[in-house]
Parts: sequence; structure tokens; C-alpha cells
Amino acid sequence: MIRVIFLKEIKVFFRSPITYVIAGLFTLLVGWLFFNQLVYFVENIQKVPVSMRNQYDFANEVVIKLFGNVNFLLLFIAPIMAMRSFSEEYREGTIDLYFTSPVADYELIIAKYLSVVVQGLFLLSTTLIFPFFLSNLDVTDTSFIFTGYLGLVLNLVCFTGLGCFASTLGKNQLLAALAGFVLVLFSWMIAMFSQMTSNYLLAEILRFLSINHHYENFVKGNISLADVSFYMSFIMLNILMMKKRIEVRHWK
Amino acid sequence: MNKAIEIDNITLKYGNRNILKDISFHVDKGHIHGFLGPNGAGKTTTMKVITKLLTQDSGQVKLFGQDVGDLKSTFNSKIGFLLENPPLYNDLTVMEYLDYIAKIKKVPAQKIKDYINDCVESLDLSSVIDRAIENLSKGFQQRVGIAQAIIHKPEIVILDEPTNGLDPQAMLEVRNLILKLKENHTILLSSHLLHEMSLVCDEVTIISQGKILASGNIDELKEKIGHTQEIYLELLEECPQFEKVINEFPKLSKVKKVNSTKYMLVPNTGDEVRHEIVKLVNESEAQLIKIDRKKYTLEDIFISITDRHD
Repeated sequence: MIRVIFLKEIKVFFRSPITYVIAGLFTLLVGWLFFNQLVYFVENIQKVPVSMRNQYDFANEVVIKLFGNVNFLLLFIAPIMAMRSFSEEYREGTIDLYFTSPVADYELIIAKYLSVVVQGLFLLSTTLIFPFFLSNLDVTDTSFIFTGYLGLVLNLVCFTGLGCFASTLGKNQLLAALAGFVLVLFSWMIAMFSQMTSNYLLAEILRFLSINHHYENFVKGNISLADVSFYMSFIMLNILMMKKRIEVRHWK
Repeated sequence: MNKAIEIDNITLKYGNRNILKDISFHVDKGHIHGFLGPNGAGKTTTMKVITKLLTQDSGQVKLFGQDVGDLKSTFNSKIGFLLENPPLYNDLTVMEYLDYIAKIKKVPAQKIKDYINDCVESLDLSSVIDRAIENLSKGFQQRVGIAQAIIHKPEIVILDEPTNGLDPQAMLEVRNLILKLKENHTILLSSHLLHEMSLVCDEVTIISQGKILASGNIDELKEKIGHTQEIYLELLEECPQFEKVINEFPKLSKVKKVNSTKYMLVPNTGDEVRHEIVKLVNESEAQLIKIDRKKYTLEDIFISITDRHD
């Protein structure tokens, strides 16, 4: 059943002209950011003495920064991609199709969630051209690209999860996008609150709860079980929140 | 078992508001049952309770004698539901949509094609099968909506205001479709268009402000509201002699002179009195142009019953 719903969602996504408009704008924006960083890098490296140029690394200055920029864009794009997942079904009344069919709530949620993630991966795949440039350069250690992308993908899954949950809250897609953005931003910025407290334990807990903290480890190429567990728990929490929201119809 | 749907003492509250107040009625197997009421009476809510989209506070819904709570996996195969606004995916073609619905309704894979063909044939959708739903006329969209409700061949079909917003031609088509569906399904149909209902329904249930006011065969309901059907009489010219005798005629409870030649008469009982009135006209040497008994329509039943409860 998950497959049936997922395929239908993907079919509708790739059939919509909006998809290609968003993909085009996203690619244009990321390309512009990459180009600026590249120009900045080339200008700066010429000011550095030749003997010190090996310390001024292309990967650090361009690629990792690009990851940061793409990640920042995801904060906005993930809620927008997820906003219609449930809101539109509520608005059009099509959600009742599932409620009057032998479709389990979790099947509907996972299929919808998965389809939004795949839609996000499609956008993200347009950025793969930039690491491809690295293959023409003398960069020996490319593992950070793999972990960086893994971090981006995990962030995407978490952000779209929050966006999908926001979308289950009501019929209005714009409000869903706004609520999704607030939730995503909160999950991203939670580490900032850790600086406001003098309590060490609380500060550590807050830091641990921030997606940003775990994402940084990935970008640096450090994958730990704690980070992976955090992401997995976050995704499960998203699914649970969506399930509880969908079950509200049975509550009295 | 002749009862396809039984609603027993259903009560439903939203906060402090009583939406359904202890309602009970039943729908006989193989019949078209009309569910009548003004907007906001509780028709859609009742239908949502039957389809388990809403949960009642108390009371019981039974399908073919079994509580819906006990039906679990077989429930969805027994029932098809069309909401007031058909739940359509506008980006899909009719074929893709029906295929998708058949899959989520768990129609066995080897039967999907046949079921879709049956549906397309019975609802005459072949001319639009490859067109995107958003490009269809409202009448065709409604047909596709009905198709999704019957694609898995349920025994019971629930249609919430299926002719709402349609032009007269589309309305006629949907009405004929509903009559066609009766061959294989039990149908519960809601509407506030009384004339429409009188044309297709075997029985009706009248609901207002969350309460069932009457339920049964349309003729039985006519019996319930009494036989005091008005008689309209018209003479060629004014006749004082007739006026005198008609006012003294004991079998009438009311004589109203509409104008110099027209009368509205209300009999005491349901017995036929027109022949006696004609006799009085002849005896008075008046000249009769027309005598007619007003026929009760569903509108009259509805107004009479709702007035009685207001």
C-alpha cells in the first residue's frame, strides 16, 4: 500500500510544472552561490604566497561552504515542499478516501513522507554537479563530500518530516509552510538557547537537541553513533507526531 | 436480513453542541433511501458516523445486522462513500484515478481491470477515460466521484448530495445513474432537493436540527401527516346558493372563498368527498369548471413535519 500511494505522489510531483520551476530556481540559486565562492576563492588564493597555498584549501573554502549554503536553503525549501502533502488532502476532502479505505494511518504517513523526501532528493541531486568539479582538481580526500551529503540528506529528512507534520495540522498550505518553517528553525536554533544558560547540563542537553550540532559533525567528516541515533530518533518522532495528529479524528 | 443499515440511538456532541440527538432509522436492503433535511440538519454528520469518519458518543451502527465496530477489515469492502465534494485528484486521468482507488480499496490485482471496465461502462465514462479530471465538466466529475464509491463493488453506497451544484441536464443524468445503481446496491442518498428525492427514493428519513422527525415510505408519511388534503373548486360564475350549501356541508372543516368563483375546501377526514361536492354544485344549479384535490408532494410532507416540530 505504501508503494501504491508513494508512486501516485511521485507521479503527481513530476507531472506538475511547478516542480521544474522550483528545481530551476534552486539550481540557479545554488549555482550563483557556488560561482561567488569560487570567484572569492580564486581572488584570495592569488594573494596568498605560493608556499602557503596548500593550506588554503579548495574543499574547505568552497565545497564545505556550499554545503552550509545548501543546508540553509533547505530550511526554507523543505517546509515548502512538504506543505501540500496533507493540507491539500484535507482541503480537497481526499483525505477521507484513505480514512474510508483499508489503508492504515502509518502506511499513508510513510508513503507521503517518503515521497516528499524523494522530491527533496531530486532537488538536492541538482547540486551533484559541483562535487563533480572536484574530480578534475587535485583533491585526494573526498570522504567529506560523502559525509557532507549524508548530513544534508539527513537534515532534509528531518526538515521535511517537520514540514509534513505541520501540513497535517490544517487545510491551509501557506500556514502549513509557515508552521513548518518555524518548527525547522526552532530545531536548528535550539543550540542558541544553550548559550543563554549557565547550567552546564542544560546547555549540553540543548546543544545535543539541535540538529545543527549533529550536522556540523557530519560536514567535518565525523560520523558518530550518537549523531546517527539522534537523526533516527528525530525521524521516528516526526512519524509519531504525524500519526498522533492523524488519529485525532478518533478522539472525543 | 432485510436491513442493510441500522442506526440505533446515535448521539454525537461537538463540545456542548448536540449535533445528533438520539437518532434511529434503518435502510432496507436493495432500496434507495433518501435522507432529507435542511442545511446543517446533521445529514453529512450521520453519514460520516456510518462510514466511521466520525465516532458517535453513544448508540450503534449496524450493517447487515453486524456492528460496524466488529466488521473491521470487511467494513471497507461493504461500503462506498461519495462526499458532497467528490474526492478527486485533478492531476490524474480518469483511468489513473480509478486504478489508484481500486488499489487503495484493495481490489485483487487480477480483478482491477475488470472492475474498472464495469465502472466505466455503467457510468458511461469511456469517452473521458484518458482525460485529466481537472478538464472534465462538473457532471462528469460527479460521475467519477460516484465511480470511486462503487469501484470495489460495495453492497452499500452512501451518496452525500450527489446532485449538488449540477445543471439540470447533469442532474438528470446523475438521477438516472442512481436508479441504475439500485440494481446491485443499497443506496443511502442525502439531499435537500425534495423533488429530486421523490423521483428516486423508496423511503425517506427526515432530519432537522439533529433529530429524526419521520422515517418511512413516502406514501406512509403522507398517511402520517393526515388526509386533510385541500380541494380546489372553480365555478363559471358566482353562485350565492352554492355558497350557502357548501358552508353548511358537515364533511368540511374549512371553507375558504378565494375569490367570487374559487373556493378552497378542507375535508374533515381522508374520505373522498369530491363527488358529494359535485352533487351540491348541481343541486345549486351552479356551473362547475374545475374540481381538484391537491396532491401531497415530498415538499408538503417535509414542511408539514418540520412545522409540527418547530
